[in-house]
Amino acid sequence: MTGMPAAILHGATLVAVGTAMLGAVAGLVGVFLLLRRRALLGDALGHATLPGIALAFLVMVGLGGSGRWLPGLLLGAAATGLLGVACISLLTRTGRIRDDTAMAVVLGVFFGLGVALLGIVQRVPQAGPAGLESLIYGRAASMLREDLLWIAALATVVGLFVVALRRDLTVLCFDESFARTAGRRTIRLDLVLLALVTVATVIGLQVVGLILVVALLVIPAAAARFWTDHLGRMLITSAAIGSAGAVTGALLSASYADLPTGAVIVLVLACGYGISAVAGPARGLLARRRSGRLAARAMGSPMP
Amino acid sequence: MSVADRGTGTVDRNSPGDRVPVDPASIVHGMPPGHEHARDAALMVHDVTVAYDRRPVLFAIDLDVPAGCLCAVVGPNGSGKTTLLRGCLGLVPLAAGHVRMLGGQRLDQVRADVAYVPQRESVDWDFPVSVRDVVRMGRLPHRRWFGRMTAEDHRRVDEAMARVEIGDLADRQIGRLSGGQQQRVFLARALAQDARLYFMDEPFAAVDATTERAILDVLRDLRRQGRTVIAVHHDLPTVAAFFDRAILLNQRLVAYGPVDEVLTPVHLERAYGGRLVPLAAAADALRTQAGG
Repeated sequence: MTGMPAAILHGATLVAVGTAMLGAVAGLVGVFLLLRRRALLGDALGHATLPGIALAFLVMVGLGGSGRWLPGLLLGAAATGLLGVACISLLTRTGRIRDDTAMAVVLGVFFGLGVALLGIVQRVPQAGPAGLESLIYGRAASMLREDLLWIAALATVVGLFVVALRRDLTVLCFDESFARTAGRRTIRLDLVLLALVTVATVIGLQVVGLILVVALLVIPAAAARFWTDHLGRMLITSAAIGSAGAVTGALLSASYADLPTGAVIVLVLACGYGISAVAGPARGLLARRRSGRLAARAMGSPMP
Repeated sequence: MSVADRGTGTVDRNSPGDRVPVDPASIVHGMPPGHEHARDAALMVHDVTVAYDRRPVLFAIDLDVPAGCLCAVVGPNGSGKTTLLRGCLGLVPLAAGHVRMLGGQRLDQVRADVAYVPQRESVDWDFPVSVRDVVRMGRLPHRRWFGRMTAEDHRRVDEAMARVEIGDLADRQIGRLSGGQQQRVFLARALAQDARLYFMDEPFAAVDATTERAILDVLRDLRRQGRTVIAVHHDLPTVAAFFDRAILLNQRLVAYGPVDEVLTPVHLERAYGGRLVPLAAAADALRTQAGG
């Protein structure tokens, strides 16, 4: 009995550190995803990871493993996620359909394929697919010490890349033509951004799950935009919001018996977004009202 | 066509209907012999054809722009003005032909010396960057990936902002500027690059009088320094006052040369299909009335 509180505390610390790092890095990458106007690509990417997870599970079981080895599952997730993005690009280039249509098609088809493969997974005798479910809906409490190391290592790499490439990514997002005339291979830069988003998505699967991972990428960035007009500060704010939201959500879901972590994190982030939209000093509702009043006063018209 | 014609004379083209569309496959790549003499030209466009979705929008454009001049690109909507710029800058693929710059070099060899001022509407001005951030982008061609700004970079950025009188706006978010100020931010970014050849897409579009004067002043400075500006310009009445040379387009090159030789009623009618000439005359008459 005396061991129990220590174990829980330890588990909670583990979860807090892991989700904090994940939230921060998703917030960083999300800023550029948002500014590049590719938020929906994150959604398509997330859903397209499902068939990869199921396939990786089947392959690992076929090779005699338990099928739940996390790095293997994440590798499968990244593979079909990227395949999905490649299909979107192929469809828009050759199929004469717009990219939002292509994203919807790929999201649906890949997720459908994933659900079908999950049906097969469930028939595998040794596997109740509990390990897989946590990747779909998110279950931070299932995080192991080894998982934390993976998340921490990958999150650090992604974070360093974003910080080092922030100027080039800024130019890409702001004015792609200019970046190209300045001699930047924008396709390469876009691929780097895609790779960073993919890694952030994949390590986010265990915490928020593949359906809701897009929210962890996009909401902190969107909320941060209300706080500042300065990109550097927006990156920091977004990382902070993502981190705080992820930790709060994960700990709440862990302490109130078995609510899916992803859902609680998204709801917490939504509250953060709401507060930002009202109180954010740069573009929030109150700030806009105030500047509107100032402008009106400057023009000499009395306010009602 | 002789080389002298290409450099300085007026090139008079047949009306669009007279020419059969150029089969891209029939165009021979590589320099024709005459080009060797035009080494000092700032821009050489040789038989350039651009197509979107296999539908050509710019046919067999052939011209040399000498260094140290201000050259306007004029023509009706959809005549390929912006496409010509984007083709020269490698932003759209050429279906045929080639472009050489600054003494016969390929764009890849002279990137840092070639600056681009896109249309103001081409970017999102809500973007969370300050005036200084945008002007700093002008130093990007001089830096490699992961590169840091040097003292020289910072000095050029400050100078460029001061030159177009936006130094006091340096830390302001770019959405909180007037249209004219935004245009000057783009111009400052190009100035910070310290290029020798400038491509500008409608730099005078919808700007206030102060900005118009400031931009014109900068353009003349650039010319004095021997630099070359090629600018899309939509306002025919001011072409002669602002520019030395003009490229008149309507998918094909209608005419090219000194402004007064290009913007003749015959050429204009050929480019605008006779719709514009009465309009332009009416506008001129109004202007004279208002001025006098």
